[in-house]
Amino acid sequence: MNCGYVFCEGKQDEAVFRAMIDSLGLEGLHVHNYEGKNRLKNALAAFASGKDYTARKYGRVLVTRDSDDDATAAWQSLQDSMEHAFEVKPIAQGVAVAAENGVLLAGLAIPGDGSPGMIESICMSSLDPNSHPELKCVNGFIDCMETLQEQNIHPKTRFNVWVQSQLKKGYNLDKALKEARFDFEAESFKTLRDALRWLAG
Amino acid sequence: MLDYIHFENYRGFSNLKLENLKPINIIVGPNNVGKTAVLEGLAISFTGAKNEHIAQLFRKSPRQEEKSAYWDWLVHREATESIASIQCGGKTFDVRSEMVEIKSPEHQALSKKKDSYTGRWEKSSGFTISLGEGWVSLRKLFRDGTLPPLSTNVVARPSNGAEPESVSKLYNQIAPLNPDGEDEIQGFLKNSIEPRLKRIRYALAKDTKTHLAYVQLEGLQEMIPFTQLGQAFSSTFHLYCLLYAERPDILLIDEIENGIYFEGLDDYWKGLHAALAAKGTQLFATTHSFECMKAAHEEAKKLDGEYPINFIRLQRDPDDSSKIIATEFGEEAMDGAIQQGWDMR
Repeated sequence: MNCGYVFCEGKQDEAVFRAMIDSLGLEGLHVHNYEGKNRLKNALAAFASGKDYTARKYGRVLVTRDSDDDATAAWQSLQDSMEHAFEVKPIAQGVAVAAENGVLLAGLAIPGDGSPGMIESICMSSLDPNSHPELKCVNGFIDCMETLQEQNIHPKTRFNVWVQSQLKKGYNLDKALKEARFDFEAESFKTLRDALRWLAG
Repeated sequence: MLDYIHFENYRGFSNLKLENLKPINIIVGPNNVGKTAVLEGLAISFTGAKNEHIAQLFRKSPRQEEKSAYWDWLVHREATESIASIQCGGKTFDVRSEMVEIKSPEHQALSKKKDSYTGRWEKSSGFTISLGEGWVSLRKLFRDGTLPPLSTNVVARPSNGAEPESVSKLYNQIAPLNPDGEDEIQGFLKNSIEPRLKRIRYALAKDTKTHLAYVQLEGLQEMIPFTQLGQAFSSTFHLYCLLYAERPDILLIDEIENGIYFEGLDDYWKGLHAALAAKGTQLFATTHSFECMKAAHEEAKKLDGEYPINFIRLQRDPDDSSKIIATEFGEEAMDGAIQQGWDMR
Protein backbone atom coordinates (compact mmCIF):
# COMPACT_ATOMS: atom_id res chain seq x y z
CA MET A 1 0.00 0.00 0.00
CA ASN A 2 1.27 3.51 -0.81
CA CYS A 3 1.74 5.73 2.20
CA GLY A 4 3.40 8.80 0.76
CA TYR A 5 2.78 10.95 -2.31
CA VAL A 6 5.41 13.27 -3.72
CA PHE A 7 4.80 15.96 -6.30
CA CYS A 8 7.73 16.85 -8.53
CA GLU A 9 8.07 19.43 -11.23
CA GLY A 10 9.36 17.65 -14.32
CA LYS A 11 10.84 14.66 -16.03
CA GLN A 12 14.33 15.13 -14.56
CA ASP A 13 12.96 15.47 -11.04
CA GLU A 14 10.84 12.37 -11.49
CA ALA A 15 13.79 10.29 -12.70
CA VAL A 16 16.03 11.51 -9.88
CA PHE A 17 13.32 11.01 -7.23
CA ARG A 18 12.64 7.47 -8.41
CA ALA A 19 16.34 6.63 -8.45
CA MET A 20 16.79 8.15 -5.01
CA ILE A 21 13.81 6.31 -3.53
CA ASP A 22 15.18 3.09 -4.98
CA SER A 23 18.68 3.80 -3.73
CA LEU A 24 17.47 4.60 -0.21
CA GLY A 25 15.30 1.47 -0.15
CA LEU A 26 12.13 3.43 0.56
CA GLU A 27 8.81 1.73 -0.10
CA GLY A 28 5.21 2.78 -0.57
CA LEU A 29 5.94 6.12 -2.23
CA HIS A 30 4.10 7.42 -5.27
CA VAL A 31 5.95 9.97 -7.44
CA HIS A 32 3.84 12.31 -9.54
CA ASN A 33 5.28 14.65 -12.16
CA TYR A 34 2.95 17.65 -12.54
CA GLU A 35 4.80 18.82 -15.65
CA GLY A 36 5.82 22.36 -14.93
CA LYS A 37 5.40 24.84 -12.11
CA ASN A 38 2.64 26.73 -13.90
CA ARG A 39 0.48 23.62 -13.44
CA LEU A 40 1.18 23.18 -9.75
CA LYS A 41 -1.67 25.26 -8.32
CA ASN A 42 -4.37 23.48 -10.32
CA ALA A 43 -2.76 20.09 -9.78
CA LEU A 44 -2.87 20.60 -6.01
CA ALA A 45 -6.46 21.85 -6.17
CA ALA A 46 -7.44 18.71 -8.08
CA PHE A 47 -5.48 16.44 -5.76
CA ALA A 48 -7.06 18.00 -2.66
CA SER A 49 -10.53 17.41 -4.14
CA GLY A 50 -9.70 13.95 -5.45
CA LYS A 51 -10.82 10.71 -3.91
CA ASP A 52 -7.30 9.52 -2.99
CA TYR A 53 -6.82 12.53 -0.76
CA THR A 54 -10.32 12.71 0.69
CA ALA A 55 -10.26 8.96 1.36
CA ARG A 56 -6.82 9.41 2.94
CA LYS A 57 -5.17 6.82 0.75
CA TYR A 58 -1.90 8.61 1.42
CA GLY A 59 -1.02 9.65 4.95
CA ARG A 60 1.80 11.98 3.93
CA VAL A 61 2.19 14.33 1.00
CA LEU A 62 5.36 16.14 -0.07
CA VAL A 63 5.12 18.95 -2.61
CA THR A 64 8.31 20.08 -4.33
CA ARG A 65 9.29 22.61 -6.93
CA ASP A 66 12.58 24.12 -8.01
CA SER A 67 13.73 27.36 -6.36
CA ASP A 68 15.30 28.54 -9.62
CA ASP A 69 16.82 32.00 -9.34
CA ASP A 70 14.62 33.32 -6.53
CA ALA A 71 14.33 30.93 -3.61
CA THR A 72 12.15 33.26 -1.53
CA ALA A 73 9.59 33.77 -4.28
CA ALA A 74 9.58 30.05 -5.08
CA TRP A 75 8.92 29.06 -1.47
CA GLN A 76 6.22 31.69 -1.08
CA SER A 77 4.52 30.49 -4.26
CA LEU A 78 4.67 26.91 -3.03
CA GLN A 79 3.22 27.91 0.36
CA ASP A 80 0.39 29.81 -1.34
CA SER A 81 -0.48 26.93 -3.66
CA MET A 82 -0.54 24.47 -0.76
CA GLU A 83 -2.63 26.77 1.41
CA HIS A 84 -5.06 27.35 -1.44
CA ALA A 85 -5.54 23.61 -2.00
CA PHE A 86 -5.28 22.13 1.50
CA GLU A 87 -6.32 25.13 3.62
CA VAL A 88 -3.17 24.87 5.73
CA LYS A 89 0.07 26.73 5.15
CA PRO A 90 3.43 25.02 5.67
CA ILE A 91 5.50 27.28 7.88
CA ALA A 92 8.99 26.01 7.00
CA GLN A 93 10.57 23.89 4.31
CA GLY A 94 10.37 20.17 5.04
CA VAL A 95 8.33 20.71 8.19
CA ALA A 96 5.02 18.86 8.19
CA VAL A 97 1.66 20.40 8.97
CA ALA A 98 -1.55 18.44 9.44
CA ALA A 99 -4.50 19.09 7.17
CA GLU A 100 -8.00 19.03 8.62
CA ASN A 101 -8.46 15.41 7.54
CA GLY A 102 -5.25 14.39 9.32
CA VAL A 103 -3.04 14.01 6.25
CA LEU A 104 0.48 15.35 6.90
CA LEU A 105 1.73 17.86 4.34
CA ALA A 106 5.21 19.23 3.70
CA GLY A 107 6.72 21.47 1.03
CA LEU A 108 10.20 21.82 -0.34
CA ALA A 109 11.57 24.42 -2.76
CA ILE A 110 14.61 22.52 -4.01
CA PRO A 111 17.40 22.61 -2.95
CA GLY A 112 15.38 23.24 0.22
CA ASP A 113 17.85 25.32 2.20
CA GLY A 114 16.60 28.72 1.07
CA SER A 115 19.17 29.08 -1.68
CA PRO A 116 18.50 29.26 -5.41
CA GLY A 117 18.78 26.07 -7.43
CA MET A 118 16.99 23.07 -8.78
CA ILE A 119 17.17 19.32 -8.82
CA GLU A 120 19.77 19.44 -11.58
CA SER A 121 22.07 21.69 -9.55
CA ILE A 122 22.03 19.46 -6.48
CA CYS A 123 22.66 16.44 -8.68
CA MET A 124 25.69 18.11 -10.21
CA SER A 125 26.93 19.23 -6.76
CA SER A 126 26.79 15.65 -5.58
CA LEU A 127 29.33 14.47 -8.16
CA ASP A 128 32.89 13.95 -6.98
CA PRO A 129 35.34 15.07 -9.74
CA ASN A 130 37.74 12.31 -8.66
CA SER A 131 35.14 9.66 -9.38
CA HIS A 132 33.80 11.45 -12.45
CA PRO A 133 36.69 12.57 -14.68
CA GLU A 134 34.18 13.34 -17.45
CA LEU A 135 33.05 16.35 -15.38
CA LYS A 136 36.16 18.18 -16.48
CA CYS A 137 35.15 17.74 -20.13
CA VAL A 138 31.54 18.75 -19.49
CA ASN A 139 32.48 21.82 -17.46
CA GLY A 140 35.10 22.80 -20.04
CA PHE A 141 32.50 22.57 -22.78
CA ILE A 142 29.93 24.63 -20.86
CA ASP A 143 32.55 27.24 -19.88
CA CYS A 144 33.58 27.52 -23.52
CA MET A 145 29.96 27.97 -24.62
CA GLU A 146 29.37 30.65 -21.97
CA THR A 147 32.40 32.55 -23.20
CA LEU A 148 31.32 32.20 -26.79
CA GLN A 149 27.74 33.28 -26.12
CA GLU A 150 28.72 35.86 -23.50
CA GLN A 151 26.00 34.66 -21.16
CA ASN A 152 25.43 32.01 -18.51
CA ILE A 153 24.24 28.65 -19.76
CA HIS A 154 21.25 27.29 -17.85
CA PRO A 155 22.23 24.72 -15.18
CA LYS A 156 19.82 22.23 -16.78
CA THR A 157 22.01 22.25 -19.89
CA ARG A 158 25.12 21.31 -17.89
CA PHE A 159 23.10 18.56 -16.22
CA ASN A 160 21.77 17.21 -19.51
CA VAL A 161 25.20 17.22 -21.12
CA TRP A 162 26.61 15.28 -18.19
CA VAL A 163 23.67 12.84 -18.14
CA GLN A 164 24.14 12.26 -21.84
CA SER A 165 27.83 11.54 -21.23
CA GLN A 166 26.83 8.61 -19.03
CA LEU A 167 25.40 6.66 -21.97
CA LYS A 168 27.91 4.30 -23.48
CA LYS A 169 26.06 4.42 -26.76
CA GLY A 170 23.07 6.19 -28.23
CA TYR A 171 21.72 9.62 -27.36
CA ASN A 172 18.34 9.07 -25.72
CA LEU A 173 18.03 11.52 -22.83
CA ASP A 174 15.26 9.57 -21.08
CA LYS A 175 17.38 6.43 -21.19
CA ALA A 176 20.43 8.34 -20.04
CA LEU A 177 18.45 9.79 -17.13
CA LYS A 178 17.50 6.30 -16.01
CA GLU A 179 21.11 5.10 -16.24
CA ALA A 180 22.72 8.11 -14.60
CA ARG A 181 24.13 7.34 -11.14
CA PHE A 182 24.29 9.99 -8.44
CA ASP A 183 25.66 9.79 -4.95
CA PHE A 184 22.43 10.18 -3.00
CA GLU A 185 24.35 10.12 0.27
CA ALA A 186 26.13 13.35 -0.74
CA GLU A 187 25.57 16.48 1.38
CA SER A 188 23.77 18.30 -1.44
CA PHE A 189 20.96 15.72 -1.31
CA LYS A 190 20.53 15.86 2.48
CA THR A 191 17.35 17.99 2.61
CA LEU A 192 15.63 16.01 -0.12
CA ARG A 193 16.84 12.73 1.36
CA ASP A 194 15.42 13.63 4.79
CA ALA A 195 12.13 14.70 3.21
CA LEU A 196 11.73 11.45 1.28
CA ARG A 197 12.60 9.41 4.36
CA TRP A 198 9.95 11.34 6.30
CA LEU A 199 7.48 10.70 3.48
CA ALA A 200 8.08 6.96 3.71
CA GLY A 201 7.30 7.10 7.41
CA MET B 1 -31.36 29.71 -6.76
CA LEU B 2 -30.50 27.39 -3.91
CA ASP B 3 -27.08 28.09 -2.50
CA TYR B 4 -26.99 25.38 0.14
CA ILE B 5 -28.71 22.18 1.28
CA HIS B 6 -28.30 20.57 4.65
CA PHE B 7 -29.52 17.02 5.23
CA GLU B 8 -29.78 15.65 8.75
CA ASN B 9 -30.75 12.04 9.38
CA TYR B 10 -32.08 11.78 5.86
CA ARG B 11 -31.59 8.38 4.23
CA GLY B 12 -27.83 7.59 4.31
CA PHE B 13 -26.84 11.09 5.42
CA SER B 14 -26.42 11.60 9.14
CA ASN B 15 -25.23 15.15 8.51
CA LEU B 16 -24.39 16.34 5.01
CA LYS B 17 -23.96 19.96 3.96
CA LEU B 18 -23.66 21.12 0.36
CA GLU B 19 -22.67 24.74 0.63
CA ASN B 20 -21.34 26.06 -2.66
CA LEU B 21 -24.27 25.36 -4.94
CA LYS B 22 -24.14 26.93 -8.39
CA PRO B 23 -26.56 27.12 -11.34
CA ILE B 24 -25.32 23.65 -12.34
CA ASN B 25 -24.57 21.04 -9.71
CA ILE B 26 -23.14 17.72 -10.82
CA ILE B 27 -23.11 14.95 -8.25
CA VAL B 28 -20.65 12.09 -8.63
CA GLY B 29 -19.32 9.24 -6.54
CA PRO B 30 -19.30 5.46 -6.30
CA ASN B 31 -22.45 3.36 -6.08
CA ASN B 32 -24.67 3.51 -3.03
CA VAL B 33 -23.47 6.78 -1.53
CA GLY B 34 -26.72 8.72 -1.98
CA LYS B 35 -26.33 10.62 -5.25
CA THR B 36 -29.93 9.94 -6.22
CA ALA B 37 -31.05 10.56 -2.64
CA VAL B 38 -29.89 14.19 -2.97
CA LEU B 39 -32.22 14.62 -5.95
CA GLU B 40 -35.05 12.89 -4.09
CA GLY B 41 -34.46 15.11 -1.07
CA LEU B 42 -34.97 18.17 -3.24
CA ALA B 43 -38.06 16.60 -4.76
CA ILE B 44 -39.47 15.86 -1.30
CA SER B 45 -38.72 19.42 -0.24
CA PHE B 46 -40.40 21.21 -3.08
CA THR B 47 -42.81 19.05 -5.01
CA GLY B 48 -45.77 18.83 -2.66
CA ALA B 49 -48.49 16.61 -4.09
CA LYS B 50 -46.08 14.93 -6.48
CA ASN B 51 -44.30 13.43 -3.49
CA GLU B 52 -46.30 10.24 -3.82
CA HIS B 53 -44.32 9.36 -6.94
CA ILE B 54 -40.88 10.03 -5.52
CA ALA B 55 -40.15 6.37 -4.80
CA GLN B 56 -40.28 5.58 -8.49
CA LEU B 57 -39.10 8.95 -9.81
CA PHE B 58 -35.54 7.77 -10.37
CA ARG B 59 -35.85 4.10 -9.45
CA LYS B 60 -37.19 1.70 -12.02
CA SER B 61 -40.58 0.13 -11.30
CA PRO B 62 -40.09 -0.67 -7.64
CA ARG B 63 -41.99 -3.67 -6.38
CA GLN B 64 -44.46 -3.22 -3.57
CA GLU B 65 -42.03 -4.26 -0.83
CA GLU B 66 -39.32 -2.02 -2.30
CA LYS B 67 -41.65 0.93 -2.15
CA SER B 68 -42.34 0.13 1.44
CA ALA B 69 -38.60 -0.12 2.15
CA TYR B 70 -37.99 3.17 0.37
CA TRP B 71 -40.21 5.03 2.79
CA ASP B 72 -39.04 2.96 5.71
CA TRP B 73 -35.46 4.09 5.01
CA LEU B 74 -36.33 7.75 4.63
CA VAL B 75 -34.89 8.47 8.04
CA HIS B 76 -31.24 7.65 8.79
CA ARG B 77 -30.87 4.37 10.64
CA GLU B 78 -28.93 5.89 13.52
CA ALA B 79 -31.24 8.83 14.11
CA THR B 80 -32.41 9.04 17.69
CA GLU B 81 -35.77 10.40 16.59
CA SER B 82 -37.50 9.01 13.52
CA ILE B 83 -37.36 12.37 11.77
CA ALA B 84 -35.28 13.50 8.82
CA SER B 85 -34.49 17.17 8.42
CA ILE B 86 -33.80 19.00 5.19
CA GLN B 87 -32.73 22.63 5.16
CA CYS B 88 -32.73 24.51 1.88
CA GLY B 89 -34.24 27.51 0.19
CA GLY B 90 -34.40 29.37 3.49
CA LYS B 91 -36.62 26.70 5.06
CA THR B 92 -35.95 23.99 7.58
CA PHE B 93 -38.43 21.22 7.78
CA ASP B 94 -38.71 17.78 9.22
CA VAL B 95 -39.96 14.76 7.34
CA ARG B 96 -41.22 11.60 8.88
CA SER B 97 -42.54 8.47 7.28
CA GLU B 98 -44.44 5.90 9.22
CA MET B 99 -46.10 2.61 8.39
CA VAL B 100 -49.75 2.50 9.32
CA GLU B 101 -51.53 -0.84 9.36
CA ILE B 102 -54.81 -1.18 7.53
CA LYS B 103 -57.37 -1.81 10.20
CA SER B 104 -60.45 0.19 9.50
CA PRO B 105 -62.94 -0.76 6.80
CA GLU B 106 -62.54 2.75 5.47
CA HIS B 107 -58.87 2.19 4.77
CA GLN B 108 -59.57 -1.21 3.27
CA ALA B 109 -62.20 0.25 0.99
CA LEU B 110 -59.84 3.00 -0.03
CA SER B 111 -57.17 0.42 -0.66
CA LYS B 112 -59.45 -1.41 -3.04
CA LYS B 113 -60.53 1.73 -4.78
CA LYS B 114 -57.05 3.03 -5.21
CA ASP B 115 -54.41 0.85 -6.68
CA SER B 116 -50.89 0.69 -5.33
CA TYR B 117 -49.03 3.93 -4.80
CA THR B 118 -51.93 6.21 -5.65
CA GLY B 119 -51.94 8.78 -2.92
CA ARG B 120 -54.27 11.03 -1.11
CA TRP B 121 -53.59 14.16 0.79
CA GLU B 122 -53.83 14.05 4.53
CA LYS B 123 -54.21 17.58 5.78
CA SER B 124 -51.91 20.08 4.19
CA SER B 125 -48.67 18.99 5.76
CA GLY B 126 -48.31 15.50 4.42
CA PHE B 127 -49.92 12.67 2.53
CA THR B 128 -50.53 9.00 2.77
CA ILE B 129 -49.52 6.42 0.22
CA SER B 130 -51.22 3.07 -0.10
CA LEU B 131 -48.80 0.21 -0.41
CA GLY B 132 -51.48 -2.47 -0.70
CA GLU B 133 -50.68 -4.17 2.56
CA GLY B 134 -50.14 -0.99 4.53
CA TRP B 135 -49.76 2.73 4.35
CA VAL B 136 -46.92 5.07 4.46
CA SER B 137 -47.72 8.39 5.95
CA LEU B 138 -45.22 11.03 4.95
CA ARG B 139 -45.48 14.19 6.93
CA LYS B 140 -43.62 17.36 6.28
CA LEU B 141 -43.50 19.43 9.40
CA PHE B 142 -42.12 22.89 9.00
CA ARG B 143 -40.30 24.12 12.03
CA ASP B 144 -41.64 27.60 11.59
CA GLY B 145 -45.13 26.32 10.94
CA THR B 146 -45.34 27.66 7.39
CA LEU B 147 -46.53 25.75 4.38
CA PRO B 148 -44.16 24.06 1.94
CA PRO B 149 -42.42 26.49 -0.44
CA LEU B 150 -44.39 25.30 -3.43
CA SER B 151 -43.59 28.47 -5.31
CA THR B 152 -40.35 26.74 -6.27
CA ASN B 153 -41.14 24.61 -9.27
CA VAL B 154 -39.04 21.47 -9.27
CA VAL B 155 -39.17 19.14 -12.24
CA ALA B 156 -37.44 15.79 -12.60
CA ARG B 157 -36.60 13.94 -15.75
CA PRO B 158 -37.40 10.29 -14.97
CA SER B 159 -34.41 7.98 -15.36
CA ASN B 160 -36.26 5.55 -17.54
CA GLY B 161 -37.21 8.31 -19.96
CA ALA B 162 -40.67 9.34 -21.02
CA GLU B 163 -43.12 7.98 -23.56
CA PRO B 164 -42.73 9.65 -26.97
CA GLU B 165 -46.36 10.75 -26.76
CA SER B 166 -45.73 12.57 -23.47
CA VAL B 167 -42.67 14.32 -24.85
CA SER B 168 -44.63 15.30 -27.94
CA LYS B 169 -47.47 16.67 -25.82
CA LEU B 170 -44.97 18.75 -23.86
CA TYR B 171 -43.66 20.15 -27.12
CA ASN B 172 -47.19 20.98 -28.18
CA GLN B 173 -47.61 23.02 -25.00
CA ILE B 174 -44.79 25.24 -26.21
CA ALA B 175 -44.94 25.41 -29.96
CA PRO B 176 -48.33 26.91 -30.90
CA LEU B 177 -48.46 29.68 -28.31
CA ASN B 178 -44.78 30.36 -27.85
CA PRO B 179 -43.16 30.48 -31.28
CA ASP B 180 -40.03 32.08 -29.81
CA GLY B 181 -39.65 29.10 -27.48
CA GLU B 182 -40.22 26.77 -30.40
CA ASP B 183 -37.50 28.55 -32.38
CA GLU B 184 -35.11 28.41 -29.45
CA ILE B 185 -35.63 24.67 -28.92
CA GLN B 186 -35.10 24.00 -32.59
CA GLY B 187 -32.02 26.22 -32.57
CA PHE B 188 -30.52 24.45 -29.54
CA LEU B 189 -31.14 21.05 -31.10
CA LYS B 190 -29.74 22.12 -34.46
CA ASN B 191 -26.62 23.63 -32.89
CA SER B 192 -25.96 20.85 -30.43
CA ILE B 193 -27.31 17.50 -31.66
CA GLU B 194 -28.68 17.52 -35.21
CA PRO B 195 -27.26 20.08 -37.65
CA ARG B 196 -29.63 18.91 -40.43
CA LEU B 197 -32.72 19.89 -38.40
CA LYS B 198 -35.12 22.19 -40.26
CA ARG B 199 -38.30 22.09 -38.18
CA ILE B 200 -40.36 20.12 -35.67
CA ARG B 201 -44.16 19.71 -35.90
CA TYR B 202 -46.72 18.12 -33.59
CA ALA B 203 -49.05 16.10 -35.78
CA LEU B 204 -51.29 13.11 -36.18
CA ALA B 205 -49.91 11.30 -39.18
CA LYS B 206 -52.11 9.35 -41.54
CA ASP B 207 -52.88 5.82 -40.36
CA THR B 208 -51.58 6.52 -36.85
CA LYS B 209 -53.56 6.77 -33.64
CA THR B 210 -51.53 9.21 -31.57
CA HIS B 211 -50.06 12.61 -32.05
CA LEU B 212 -46.28 12.78 -32.16
CA ALA B 213 -43.56 15.36 -32.75
CA TYR B 214 -42.21 14.97 -36.28
CA VAL B 215 -38.90 16.27 -37.50
CA GLN B 216 -37.88 17.61 -40.88
CA LEU B 217 -34.24 17.22 -41.84
CA GLU B 218 -32.36 18.80 -44.70
CA GLY B 219 -32.31 16.40 -47.63
CA LEU B 220 -35.42 14.53 -46.51
CA GLN B 221 -38.79 15.33 -48.04
CA GLU B 222 -40.97 13.63 -45.46
CA MET B 223 -40.99 14.43 -41.77
CA ILE B 224 -40.08 11.54 -39.50
CA PRO B 225 -41.02 10.81 -35.87
CA PHE B 226 -38.43 12.38 -33.54
CA THR B 227 -37.79 8.97 -31.99
CA GLN B 228 -36.11 7.91 -35.23
CA LEU B 229 -33.21 10.27 -34.57
CA GLY B 230 -31.82 8.20 -31.73
CA GLN B 231 -31.59 8.40 -27.99
CA ALA B 232 -29.37 11.47 -27.79
CA PHE B 233 -31.86 13.52 -29.79
CA SER B 234 -34.88 12.14 -27.90
CA SER B 235 -33.27 12.66 -24.53
CA THR B 236 -32.19 16.21 -25.34
CA PHE B 237 -35.51 17.07 -26.96
CA HIS B 238 -37.31 15.87 -23.82
CA LEU B 239 -35.00 17.98 -21.69
CA TYR B 240 -35.66 21.15 -23.69
CA CYS B 241 -39.40 20.47 -23.68
CA LEU B 242 -39.33 20.13 -19.90
CA LEU B 243 -37.41 23.40 -19.59
CA TYR B 244 -39.74 25.35 -21.86
CA ALA B 245 -43.09 23.77 -20.98
CA GLU B 246 -42.64 23.37 -17.22
CA ARG B 247 -40.35 26.40 -16.73
CA PRO B 248 -38.78 24.82 -13.64
CA ASP B 249 -36.77 26.73 -11.09
CA ILE B 250 -34.93 23.50 -10.39
CA LEU B 251 -34.40 20.57 -12.75
CA LEU B 252 -33.40 17.16 -11.42
CA ILE B 253 -31.75 14.59 -13.68
CA ASP B 254 -30.38 11.24 -12.57
CA GLU B 255 -27.54 9.79 -14.67
CA ILE B 256 -27.54 12.69 -17.09
CA GLU B 257 -25.12 11.00 -19.49
CA ASN B 258 -27.57 8.18 -20.26
CA GLY B 259 -28.05 7.67 -23.96
CA ILE B 260 -25.43 10.21 -25.03
CA TYR B 261 -22.46 8.83 -26.95
CA PHE B 262 -19.25 10.23 -25.43
CA GLU B 263 -18.33 12.11 -28.60
CA GLY B 264 -21.67 13.90 -28.47
CA LEU B 265 -21.27 15.05 -24.87
CA ASP B 266 -19.62 18.37 -25.77
CA ASP B 267 -22.51 19.31 -28.05
CA TYR B 268 -25.02 18.06 -25.51
CA TRP B 269 -23.59 20.32 -22.82
CA LYS B 270 -23.21 23.23 -25.19
CA GLY B 271 -26.97 23.14 -25.79
CA LEU B 272 -27.85 22.45 -22.18
CA HIS B 273 -25.75 25.33 -20.83
CA ALA B 274 -27.51 27.67 -23.24
CA ALA B 275 -31.00 26.36 -22.46
CA LEU B 276 -30.53 26.42 -18.68
CA ALA B 277 -29.17 29.97 -18.82
CA ALA B 278 -32.02 31.08 -21.08
CA LYS B 279 -34.65 29.74 -18.67
CA GLY B 280 -32.81 30.61 -15.43
CA THR B 281 -33.13 27.01 -14.26
CA GLN B 282 -30.86 25.49 -11.64
CA LEU B 283 -29.75 21.95 -12.47
CA PHE B 284 -28.97 19.10 -10.10
CA ALA B 285 -27.72 16.05 -11.97
CA THR B 286 -25.87 12.86 -11.16
CA THR B 287 -23.40 11.12 -13.41
CA HIS B 288 -21.08 8.12 -13.42
CA SER B 289 -19.11 9.46 -16.35
CA PHE B 290 -15.91 11.49 -16.12
CA GLU B 291 -16.28 12.21 -19.83
CA CYS B 292 -19.60 13.85 -19.00
CA MET B 293 -18.00 15.94 -16.22
CA LYS B 294 -15.23 16.94 -18.58
CA ALA B 295 -17.63 17.95 -21.35
CA ALA B 296 -19.75 20.01 -18.94
CA HIS B 297 -16.58 21.71 -17.69
CA GLU B 298 -15.03 22.39 -21.11
CA GLU B 299 -18.27 23.86 -22.46
CA ALA B 300 -18.77 25.95 -19.31
CA LYS B 301 -15.33 27.50 -19.77
CA LYS B 302 -16.41 28.84 -23.15
CA LEU B 303 -19.28 30.82 -21.59
CA ASP B 304 -19.13 34.46 -20.61
CA GLY B 305 -19.44 35.27 -16.93
CA GLU B 306 -18.89 33.28 -13.79
CA TYR B 307 -18.08 29.58 -14.05
CA PRO B 308 -21.49 27.95 -13.42
CA ILE B 309 -20.67 24.45 -12.18
CA ASN B 310 -20.23 23.00 -8.72
CA PHE B 311 -19.06 19.39 -8.77
CA ILE B 312 -20.00 17.38 -5.69
CA ARG B 313 -18.41 14.02 -4.98
CA LEU B 314 -20.06 11.87 -2.33
CA GLN B 315 -18.08 9.08 -0.73
CA ARG B 316 -17.92 7.09 2.47
CA ASP B 317 -15.94 8.52 5.37
CA PRO B 318 -12.69 6.53 5.64
CA ASP B 319 -13.09 6.52 9.45
CA ASP B 320 -16.75 5.57 9.53
CA SER B 321 -18.16 3.81 6.49
CA SER B 322 -21.72 4.47 7.61
CA LYS B 323 -21.13 8.20 7.16
CA ILE B 324 -21.23 9.96 3.79
CA ILE B 325 -18.99 12.96 3.17
CA ALA B 326 -19.14 15.48 0.35
CA THR B 327 -16.26 17.17 -1.46
CA GLU B 328 -17.16 20.14 -3.63
CA PHE B 329 -14.89 21.44 -6.35
CA GLY B 330 -14.96 23.68 -9.39
CA GLU B 331 -13.10 25.06 -12.37
CA GLU B 332 -9.56 25.04 -10.99
CA ALA B 333 -9.67 21.45 -9.73
CA MET B 334 -11.24 20.23 -12.97
CA ASP B 335 -8.57 22.03 -14.99
CA GLY B 336 -5.92 20.41 -12.81
CA ALA B 337 -7.49 16.97 -13.05
CA ILE B 338 -7.69 17.13 -16.83
CA GLN B 339 -4.08 18.36 -17.10
CA GLN B 340 -2.86 15.63 -14.77
CA GLY B 341 -5.04 12.86 -16.22
CA TRP B 342 -6.90 12.24 -12.97
CA ASP B 343 -10.42 10.90 -12.73
CA MET B 344 -12.49 12.99 -10.33
CA ARG B 345 -15.54 10.73 -10.04
